Formats: sequence, C-alpha cells, structure tokens
Amino acid sequence: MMKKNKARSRASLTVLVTLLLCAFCFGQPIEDIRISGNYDNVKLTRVLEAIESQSGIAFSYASSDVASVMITYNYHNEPLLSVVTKLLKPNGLAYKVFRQNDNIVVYPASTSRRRQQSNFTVSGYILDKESGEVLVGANIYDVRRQIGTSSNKYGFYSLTLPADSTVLAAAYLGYRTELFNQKLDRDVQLNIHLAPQTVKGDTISVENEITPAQQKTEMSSIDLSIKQIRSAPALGGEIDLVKVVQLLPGVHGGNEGSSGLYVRGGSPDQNLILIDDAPIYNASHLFGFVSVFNTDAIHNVNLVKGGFPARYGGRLSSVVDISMKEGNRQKFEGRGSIGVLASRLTLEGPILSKRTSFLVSARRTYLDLVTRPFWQEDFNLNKFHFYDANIKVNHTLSDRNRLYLSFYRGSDQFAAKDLDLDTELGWGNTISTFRWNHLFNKKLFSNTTLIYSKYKFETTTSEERRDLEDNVVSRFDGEYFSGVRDMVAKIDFDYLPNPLHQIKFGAAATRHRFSPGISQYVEQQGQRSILDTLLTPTGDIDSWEYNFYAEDDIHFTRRFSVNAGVHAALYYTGAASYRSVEPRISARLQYHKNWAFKASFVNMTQNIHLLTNSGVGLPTDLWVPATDKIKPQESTQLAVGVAGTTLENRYEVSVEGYYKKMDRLIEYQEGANFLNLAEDWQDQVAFGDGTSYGVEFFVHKKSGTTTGWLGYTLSKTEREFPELNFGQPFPYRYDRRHDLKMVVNHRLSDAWELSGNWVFGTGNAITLAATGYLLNDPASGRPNLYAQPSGSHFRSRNGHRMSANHRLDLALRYHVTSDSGREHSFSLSIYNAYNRRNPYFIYYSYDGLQPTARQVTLFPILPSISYSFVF
Amino acid sequence: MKNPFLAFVFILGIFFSACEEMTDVSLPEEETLLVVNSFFNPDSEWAAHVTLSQDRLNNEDFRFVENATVEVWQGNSKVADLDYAADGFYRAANVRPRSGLTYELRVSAPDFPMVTASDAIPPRISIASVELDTLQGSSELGETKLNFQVTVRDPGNARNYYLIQVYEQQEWGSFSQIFSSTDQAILESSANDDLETGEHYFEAAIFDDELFNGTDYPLDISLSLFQHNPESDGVYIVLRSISEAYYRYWRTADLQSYFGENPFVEPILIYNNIENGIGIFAGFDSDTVRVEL
Repeated sequence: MMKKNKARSRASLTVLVTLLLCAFCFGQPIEDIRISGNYDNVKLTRVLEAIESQSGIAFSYASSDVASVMITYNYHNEPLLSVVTKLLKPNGLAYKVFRQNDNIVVYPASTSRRRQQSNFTVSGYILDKESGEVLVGANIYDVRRQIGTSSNKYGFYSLTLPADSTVLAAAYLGYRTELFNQKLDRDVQLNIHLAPQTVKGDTISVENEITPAQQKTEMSSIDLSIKQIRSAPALGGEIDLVKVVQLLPGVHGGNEGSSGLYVRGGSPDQNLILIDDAPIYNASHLFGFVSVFNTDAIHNVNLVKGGFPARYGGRLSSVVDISMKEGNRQKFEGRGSIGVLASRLTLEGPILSKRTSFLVSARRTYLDLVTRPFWQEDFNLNKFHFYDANIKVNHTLSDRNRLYLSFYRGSDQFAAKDLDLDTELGWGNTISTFRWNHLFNKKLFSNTTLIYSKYKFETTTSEERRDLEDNVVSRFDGEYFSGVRDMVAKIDFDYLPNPLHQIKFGAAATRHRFSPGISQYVEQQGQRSILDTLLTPTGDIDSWEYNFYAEDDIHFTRRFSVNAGVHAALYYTGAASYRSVEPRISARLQYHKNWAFKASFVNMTQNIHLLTNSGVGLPTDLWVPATDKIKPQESTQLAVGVAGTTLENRYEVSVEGYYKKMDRLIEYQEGANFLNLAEDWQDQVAFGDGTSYGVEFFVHKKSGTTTGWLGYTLSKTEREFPELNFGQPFPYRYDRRHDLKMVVNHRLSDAWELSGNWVFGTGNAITLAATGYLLNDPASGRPNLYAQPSGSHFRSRNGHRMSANHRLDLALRYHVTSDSGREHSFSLSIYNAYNRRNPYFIYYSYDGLQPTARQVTLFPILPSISYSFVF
Repeated sequence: MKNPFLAFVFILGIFFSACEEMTDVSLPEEETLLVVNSFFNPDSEWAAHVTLSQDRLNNEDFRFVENATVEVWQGNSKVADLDYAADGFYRAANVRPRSGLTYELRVSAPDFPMVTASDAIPPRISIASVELDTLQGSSELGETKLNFQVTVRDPGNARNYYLIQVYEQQEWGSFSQIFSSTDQAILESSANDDLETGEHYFEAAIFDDELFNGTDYPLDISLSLFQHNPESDGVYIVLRSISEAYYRYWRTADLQSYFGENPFVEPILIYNNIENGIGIFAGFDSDTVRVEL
C-alpha cells in the first residue's frame, strides 16, 4: 500500500514537474529549452513524442523516414537542440527549426540515396486566411530538399517534386508559416491559407523560411507591403504610396512634396507605373503633390529599378508594379479615413457565395470647401479638388479559371475667375483592366489581359466683354487639351516544369493614340464670328507596339542561379517603324550562407517620350511618341552588388553599384516655349544622351517592434545634348550626389506606434544666371550700354546647386479595437518637423533695377491629423 | 488671355501663391571675367571691346578695361596690336582682316588669365537681285507696304549664315529701318511666341540656308512706306554673310533678350567663343544693294 502510494506520489510529482517544465518551456526561446530522458532501444517516433510533450516543441516528419530508427540514449538537462542533433545525425537525419510555429521538421540528411521513378506537382493558390486575398510572392518549399518556389502576382504556385512523403512549408512576411506533411504519389492541388501573424500587435517576425535576399536571383528590386506604406508619416495626413517609394535608395521625388519618381538618374517618363497591369501616365493629383493611388485599394507594390526581367518593357528606368486589392472573399468589410486633405471610404466583401468578391474605394479632397471661409478677397481660385475611385470585381469560375475586372478613374479640377475671365483646368486618368487567369495544367498558368488607359489634360478660358458704347457683347473661348490613350491586349504564361526553372513568356499588342497639344479658338463679336480656329500642329498620332518576351529563372545549383531572357518590340507610327531586341540577364552566386554576389545587365527601349518643361513637373507635360523625326530612347544598365541577411535574418542588407547609359533622350531646346501652341513639338526638341552611375546602400529591418530602413545613394547623373549647353555635358536637374534616407517605425505598445523618416539630399541643379555682362549689338557692333544687365552668363546649364534638402517627418498613431471588432486609429503627422526651408526654386526679384535673389519654399512645418476606421 | 494655356499658368500661380514662402537668399559671389566682343570684316579696321563681367546682383555700370593687351594673330604671326581708344574700345589703325583666313584674338589684362578666341570671315555672298512691289493699304494699319524680294544666291557646298538689314540715308546719317517679314527662313531663326499673327518685325534678322541650300532664294521682307523718307536716295538692302559663331551669338542673345526670365521658357545660354572669358569674336562680310523708290 505504501509502495502504491509512493508510486502514485512519484507519478503525481513527475506530472507536476513535467507540467511546470512545460509551462516554463512554453514561450522560451528554443535554444534555452533543456530536457531530460532515458531510452533504451526505443523507436525514434516515441522519443520525439516524449520530447514534444516535455518541451512543447512539435516535430513534423514523414513516417517512412523515421519508422525504422531505434534509439538508445540518456540525457539529463541537456539543451533541446543538442539532444535533437545527437538523436538524428547518427541516423542520417537532419532537421530544421520553425521558431514561429514551435516546430522542428525532421527529414533525411541526404536525398541522393533515393532514386525516384516519377515526379508529382503540388499547385494551387496561396491566400490570406482572413480575407481570401491572394498573396503575391509567398514562398512554398520542400523542407527536406530545401527547394521551392514563390507565388506569382495572382497567388498561383506550382512545385514539382519527386514522389515521396515530405514536409512542405508555406511562408509570407507578416504571416504565420504553415507546415504540411504531404504524401506525393499523385498531382496535388493545395490551396494554402496563411493567417496574419498577429493582428493586434502587428509585430512581424522574419523566419528563415521566407526567402532571403541572398537566395533570390533578382536584384535592384524591393517589395513594399501596404502595412509599411500605411505606417509612414504623411503630408497633410494623406498616406501616399509614391512618397514611400521615394524613400528607397536610388529613388527620389525631384522637388519637395512632389509625387514624381526619379530613379537612378532617369526622368519621370521612364517609370512604368502599372496598376493591375495597366500603365498609368500621370500619377499625380494637386500639381504633383499627391499621388493618384488610394492606399486603401492597394494590396502590394513592387519596385524594380535595375536587372529588369524580360517580362517588363517599354521604359528605361523603373517598374512600379501595383496590385489592387481583390476584395475580401470571407466577409463584408469597410475601411475609411478622414483627414485634413481628403477622406476616403472603401467597401469590400463577397458576393454570390465566396466565388466572387468586390472592392469599391473612393477618395475626395475637400480642401477648397474647408478653406473657403479663410480665403482673402483677392484669392480667386474658386474650385480646386481631386477625386479618385477604384472598383474591382473578381470571380472564380472554376479551379482553372478566374476573372478580374478593375477600374480606376481620377480627376483634378480647378477653376478661377478674374473680372470677365473664367478659366478652368482639369486632368485625370481613366483605366480599366479585364484579366482572365487560366490554368492549362498544373505547370502552365496563363493570364490574358485587356487594358484601356487614358490620360487627358484640358484647360479652357473664356472672356466676355460688353462694349459700353455700342452695347455689343464680345466673347472669346479658347480650349487646349493633350493626352494619350492606350488599348492593350496581352497574354502572359508561367511555365513551371520543375523547381529549377521558372519560365515566363508572353506577347502584347498596344495601340497608342497621342494628342500632343490641340487647341481651339472661337471669338465672336455680337453675332459676327471673328475667329474659329482649330490648331493641331501634329494632330492625333496613332502608333502600334508589339512586344514579345521569354525568360527563365534557372537554379543551376542551390548557390548559383540566373534569370535570363529577351524582350523584343516592334513599333509602328506613320511611316516610321522601329525594332528592338533587348537582352536581360541577372545572376546570383551565393558564396556564404547569408550572402550572395549579384550582377545584372539589361538593355531597355522606350518608344514614347515625355516632353517636359525643365523648370517644373506639371500635368501639361506632353506624352509624345517616337516618330520618324524622334527616335525611341534606349538604355543599357549594368549593376553589381552584394545582398544578404545578418543578425539572424533580422536585417536585410544590400550594396549595389550601377552604371546606366541612356541614348536618344529628348529635352526642349533652349528658348523653347511650352506655351507656344502653334509650333510643332517635334521642332522644339533637342536630342542627347545621359549617364548615371552610383552606389546604393540599403539596410532593411523587417521584424521586431522596431522596423524600418536606412538607405544611402552616392550617384552622379549627367546629360549631353549637342544643342544644349554648347554640346558640353551638364548635370541632370535632379542629379543628387548624396541621398540619405532613414525610416523608422516603432511600436510602443499594442495601441501606440511612432514613426518617422529623415531625408537628406544634395540640392537640385538649376540654371541660374551667375554674372551679367555687356553684350554688343551684332548688327552695329556697338555695346548695348542701356540695358542692365545686357546679357546673363550662365556657368552651365543646371550649373547652380540649390542648398541641400533635408526634412524630418513624424507620425504618432493610436490604434484601438473595440469589443465589436471595429478598429479605430488616430494619427498625428508632422511634416517637416523642424521647419526646414527647403528651396523649391530661386529667382531674381527687382526693386527698381536692383536685383535680389529670392528662394521659394513650399512647405513649412505642417501638422495634420487623421482618423481611420475599419468595420 | 487668348492663349488657353495661360489659364493653366494663371491657376497654377494662384495655387502656389497660397502655400509658397519667399525669402532672400545669398548666392556665392561670382568670379569676374574679361568680356571681349569683336565683330570683324574686310571693310573695317580691327576693333575689340573689352569690359568686365559683374555679379548678377551687382547693379553698377559695367567697367571698361583700359589696360589690356589686345592682339590678333594669324597662325604663328601677329597681324595686329590693338590700342586702347575709349569707352572700352581697342582699335588697330590701318589694319584690316582678310576674308577666308582664321584669326585668333588674344587679350591679356592684369589679374586675369589671357583670353583667346578664333574665327574667320566667311566668303562674301551677293544679293542676286532685289524686286520691289508696292501694295497700297496692305498693312494691318492700312498703310502702304513696300515688299522686297531679295534673292540670295546661296552656295551649296556648306552651311551659310546670313544677316539682313535695311538702311535709309537720312540727312543726318544712315539709319536702319524696322522691317517686317513672314518669310519662313527668317522666322525659323527668330525669337517669337506670338500666336495671333505670323508677321514679325526686325531691325536686323538672321537666317541660315537650311531651307534653301545651294539655290537662289527669294527672301521676302516688307517696309512700311510710313517709315520712308521721300528725300532719301532710296533704301539700302544689306546682306551680311556671317560666321556660324556670329549666327549663334545673335540667335541666343536675341532669344535671351526676348524671353528674359520667363519661367515657362527653357533657359537660354548665350553663345560664347571666348576661352577663359565671355563674349564673341566673329567675322562677317557684306553686300549692299540700293533700291530706288
């Protein structure tokens, strides 16, 4: 009896100690867990089960791999990982720790001893568990073989593996990694739903299973999640995707507050900005201070600034590939925001069960309404606002077919009245995309797209006067518009024969219609027509463009991979036609577990130009095609660098050097006047070349309570035009020798979040008269003594540097979730926190004949508040 | 505001004025440079005008350089020493340049590096003929216009540049007359952004032979009879054959003068062929035809 009681007490004590140990072990870092055990010729599976119950760490394995392994081993208070190593290694087994999941995956250390007769394919979509949205670029891989793939921009993946039992891991930044024991004896369709890692805290950790930079062939490419974009401080409380992209190395916005993009010495027209595959020609509202992208409707952003894969073409400097959200497939959801500058509302949810979802998002500024009471008498701008709307519907027809329909419409409207004169101007984009995803088989995915994209700028002026003597009313109406309209049909294929090859190929046909400046004048005096003229220096210009591409991401070994491809284009306009064949290659050599050397060489051709006044970037800039007079622009870019991760994958680091040569760029000639509507734009341009080279450093911390990045670019960009600056090279207006960006986001608690960014950049290069001198009248040969100054001497075109730009922006957010699940967030943003007077431009002002130099600054310190909600 | 594009400028100005802040800014002081201007031709003695540039914010009168050494060289031979005359002018008495030779101008002054420039006088190109047509009340103001068709015999072997002027002899001397033209060759080289009329007025106009290389080109110019002095012996049409440097200097100086600091016009750099300094050294030759009225 005593023995029985003693035995019972010992058992109880053991259970208690085990429970305490478990309680202690749970939540501990896996490296700190210690375990004890005593086994004599016991099956490995039983040992693993015992460790699991003692430590709380689960084991995943294929039964066939471990079934026959017997263990004889004693250990006392040893580190868990040490025990696991000693158990597995002598038996030809290896393991991988998934800290996020408290899981250890066990697999044979070598797969070469198994000769497989056949391969099978696991394919499907990787989706957000809560919303049903596809996850772009999510990783899935065979843990044992350490080979895998990532989902394409439609969330589709296909992984072909030898017939076997294995463990698959699916991972995505900010989501909890999922592990699957998968028996591969046939093709498997597996749609994977990943859950956001922590909804409340938003604290993201990075695990080894997310493909780090050193394992990706691509270079000069950065993904931005919408979460990162939302956490950045915002000008006027209006979160702006483009302004966050500007904070990346190698990219800047040109002028302060601008939503332009200048990438590696390129001009704004050299950026291919895609929203759901449709090109957008003018990405700005409010004369460039706000971008057209409503972040509530955006799902994902990818920036490529070099090493362009062959699937992209038509621009020289960058691709900004933006995917719109598809709409929540699980439940109806709303999201909105009220800010100083604008408000927005987004509704999304499933319709017709869960096979169809929709998203409607709209935004409008009400700056004109809010500020109207404060207008001074002489402030005669009586309308200024913008709006935009995004609509998207997608429908799953079957496992093999999905349809997407996206629509965007945005517009800016301004009007002013001055005495008898009414003026109005507006511009905007209209974009519509229809896409059809079709799965031919487990390895071949296709996407067929039809696109309509239109940009139009329009300004009108009308003047009405009554002659007091004869009481006749005279009226003048003038109208000017310019724009571009694209219709595109394209098809893209993803062919994934095995994990060593990811092949993409496709073709596109585009019809561009350019309207580079058309004006109309009507003047009437009473009933008499004085003037009725339509002025179209070139009229509408149609051009056709056909593009073809093929690329393969080839993994020769685990350490060496190459993305090689070619992009070809045929372009026809009027009597002119141009052909281009553009080779693209990127290579990766992983010389260390955490580091890889990368290099890329790309050749790009751009058949369209943006004719822009160098002083300012405005919606009046003309999109013009290559013609028989104006040749397409071309570039060649070479980039080399090192990329990797450090400090347990928490920091992603890259250093890249690049050299970019651009040919056949166009600029307005010296003295060209973009207000001169009568002259053919082709007669006002000069042709030349450009070079840009530099080094970019990037340290990115994606995990933990503090996230952010540090980016620094040292670069030099020049232009050389025979007709400009007397043929001598001159700095590009937005040449930026030093460009430093720091972005920090710190989660103070579940409710409070503090973010800030500090930017520093060399001042813009402007053309500013340096000295005055006496001109001689060439007709008489005599000096012109009566003009002061007679002539202005410029050191060089863009020969004067304005002072450096630097600025600190801060944001403090308070986030709370109510019992009903509704989320509320309040933000206080301070733009230009230390009130730096950054120069926008410099001009000479005259007090009589005495000139003084004056600097115009646009944005002083600008605090703003906004309120966001999710229901 | 008959250009609808100006509506855009108008609204943009209002929009920016709402948020902009202007402050005086100091600019780095600019180095003072020697400014040398010299137009030479076979009919005149060598002359050069030497002054100093000054900071753009300095509003004082330009300073003449009186102690410079001004020389003209042809290859390794010095062909002229120019002596200071007055008001910044240096002249070489009784020494004239010759057509077809390339000359180098060298100017040295204390505290300045020597400045140099080279150019040549292009071949003289004759006016083949001048035809006059009088049109009663044909001008915008209802005045009688004198339309001249000046035929230029352009050689086809090279790019040629021209300047045309109209003079009239008055009792107190010869005076250049303002003339107008709608000729495309002239308009292509002139500064203009006038939307509402195709007619432009000139005291002298430059053009090149891009539109008529190697042909006899009838150039159209008009003079208002209102300007004509009935006591004169007619008008003198002067056609200068000018060097490329001359043409580029005139064109850029004219553009800069015309557009000033218009923010919507691309900045214009005045052509400069003076090494280490600023200015122009350019040759020309001329042919003159008198037309009796």
